[in-house]
Amino acid sequence: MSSVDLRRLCEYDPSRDISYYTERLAAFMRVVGSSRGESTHAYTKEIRRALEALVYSVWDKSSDFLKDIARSQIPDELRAGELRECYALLLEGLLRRFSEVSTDMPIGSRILLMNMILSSIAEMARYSLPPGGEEFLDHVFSSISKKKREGGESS
Amino acid sequence: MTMLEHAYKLLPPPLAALPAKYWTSISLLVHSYSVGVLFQELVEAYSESHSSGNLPEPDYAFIIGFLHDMGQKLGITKKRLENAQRWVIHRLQDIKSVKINEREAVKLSKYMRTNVAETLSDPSYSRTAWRLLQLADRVQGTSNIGDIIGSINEFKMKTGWNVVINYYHIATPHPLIRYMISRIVHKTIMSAVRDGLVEFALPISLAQGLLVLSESPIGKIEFDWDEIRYILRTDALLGDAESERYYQSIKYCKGIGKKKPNKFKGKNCDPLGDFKMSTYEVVLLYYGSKEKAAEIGKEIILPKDVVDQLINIEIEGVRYVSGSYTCPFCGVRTPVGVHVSEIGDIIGGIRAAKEKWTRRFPPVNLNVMLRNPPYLACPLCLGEALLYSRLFAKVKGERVLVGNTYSAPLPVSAAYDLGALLQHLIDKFGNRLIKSEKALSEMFNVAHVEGLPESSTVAVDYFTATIYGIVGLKGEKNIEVTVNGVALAGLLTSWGLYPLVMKPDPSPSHTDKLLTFYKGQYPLFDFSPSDKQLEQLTPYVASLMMGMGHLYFRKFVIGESVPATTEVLNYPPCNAPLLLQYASPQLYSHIESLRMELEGGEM
Repeated sequence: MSSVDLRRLCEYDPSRDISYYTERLAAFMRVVGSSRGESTHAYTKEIRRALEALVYSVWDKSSDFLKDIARSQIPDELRAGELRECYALLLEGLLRRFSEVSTDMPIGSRILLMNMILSSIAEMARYSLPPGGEEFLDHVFSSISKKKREGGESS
Repeated sequence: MTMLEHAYKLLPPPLAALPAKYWTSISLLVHSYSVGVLFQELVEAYSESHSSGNLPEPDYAFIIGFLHDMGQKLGITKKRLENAQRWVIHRLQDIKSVKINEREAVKLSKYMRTNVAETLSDPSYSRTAWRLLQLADRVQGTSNIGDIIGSINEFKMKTGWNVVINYYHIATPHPLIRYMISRIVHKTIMSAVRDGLVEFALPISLAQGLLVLSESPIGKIEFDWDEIRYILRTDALLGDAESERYYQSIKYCKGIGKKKPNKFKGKNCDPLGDFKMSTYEVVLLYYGSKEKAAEIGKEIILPKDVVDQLINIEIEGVRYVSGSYTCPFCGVRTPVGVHVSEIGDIIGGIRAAKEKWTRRFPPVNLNVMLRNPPYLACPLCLGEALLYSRLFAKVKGERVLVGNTYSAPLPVSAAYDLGALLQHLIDKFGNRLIKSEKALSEMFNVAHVEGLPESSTVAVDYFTATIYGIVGLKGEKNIEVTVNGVALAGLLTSWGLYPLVMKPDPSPSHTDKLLTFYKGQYPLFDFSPSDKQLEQLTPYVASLMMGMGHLYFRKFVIGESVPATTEVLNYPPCNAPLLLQYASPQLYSHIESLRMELEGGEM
């Protein structure tokens, strides 16, 4: 799978449900969080910060900042450029979909939904990753290793 | 033998919850099952009276009928067709009760490629076979009795098979009495078939009556009042012991008995109504044991309005008289009746707890007003209360009647099978839904259908296509009862049994909403699965309702800190997949992997 395809899988698409992004972010956090510890915080630190920044700080003018928030909350454990790009696109997609689905909600319900999203990402990452997430993880890492291999052979 | 195992193998829960129609709430499973069963029964009836005709075997007829809409309704396009066909082949070979080899499975799986009920052009069986399937599909696809009769007449013209339409109904506003009478009518028709008086009878339950297809007219159904009295088979509706108590009370009223009977109330001795009968006398005469009722020596009288509600049904030994009293429950003018408070006594401990004042009449306390003439509870409302108390006699916990109502017609045998499944699921899991994720996802195991009990207490109202289930919801706290109730609704919905009305009393009307629950009003299940925008979400919503059981388990049994439990119900249904990921990732994974297997992956 080329990086163009990878980008297509991760970027924002209005036809995709918000659960699409949470599932795939949970797949990333399964890899990232396992080296940090067992807590929910270990698995959702960056996503929580991004969602909190959106909900508490820039809600009214959020569309200008979504990209920046997503790019500023990439886990350090992700080193490869493609992975970081992919993660940022997914997080941006999550933030955008979250602001869409919760735009008519009262603030209390929005915060509760945010907490439920974080809890679900941690649960999925730790215990039961849905099949979509597993498949996504396979695609991402096989694509990266293939690219590395090809790069290694040419150099 | 029921075909439920076949059905759930091909469309396992919670995918069974996907809806089939835009005009009414009915799951794909129930629609496909009804068409399959009706097609199977039509094929059997047709081949009995016609020697020629290339028709499928009954078992295969069911599978063809079941599959006819699946490709179309699941939105399986060309690209995914092979995947779906592979699914069907694999699942058909997996059925335990009938051995289907690979060659046959491949042949059968082709029927999901095109809708033969619409094209009528598959060469493997005769055109008559497909016309039978078309009839089954059309009958199931409308709620209008005129449309159904039109389809049957068109079928008669094209095939030359002269079937007769018989129609029975009782339009009384008493759901349980209606259910009792529908059972008697169905039993009478079936015994006529067994005795050879009618060659075949194919009863179909509609939202507005019972339609029976036969080769010769069946005519009016007549039965005695005693059949209503003994509807529960074991003893009279009042019960033998109770009959004796009422009999002793009547004697005591007249000053014959020396010892005061148990629970005796002096006011129940007052002569009431146009015929001056006491409450004790009326109850014993109408619903007491036959011997004791005979000793009263009076005839059964019903309000005159009731005779207009009966269509093609006659109750023998009953006189219809218009009365000068009003029943406050159903509104008929009745000549005989009982004290209004007696209904509450029978149902069990229901007392007027609050002072209710009416402004419509000259200001008066409603409870006091109903105690005096011209108000009397009519004999049918009395029967309704008695049947209610008998149905719930052994139920512990909060009494809830689960009503599964359909606007679309159901063949009676399909309704019976679904009724057996509904009660089986309630009995097996009713109060055991506060569980770990693994235990919850095991409830989607089709093995539960194989263990369906033979003689289960199925309550199906054939006159309104309504299936009733009985449950006593238990729980130490109010929230536990609510979670158990909603999770049970989720389980039943996952198996395709919706729309559901869960209330302490039976609801006489149809609804399109997924769930009408007696506690609170939440937007999540207050939606119609026939909604085009939301239809794909039904399996997620159903599983989410079940997932609440897991959230409760985590919070109150394990003591984990979770952000929300019942609050998940406050969100609109479009968030259901996201909320299900939160409530139970395992149930979410279960749905996703089934969809992947059936439709192929997204990537």
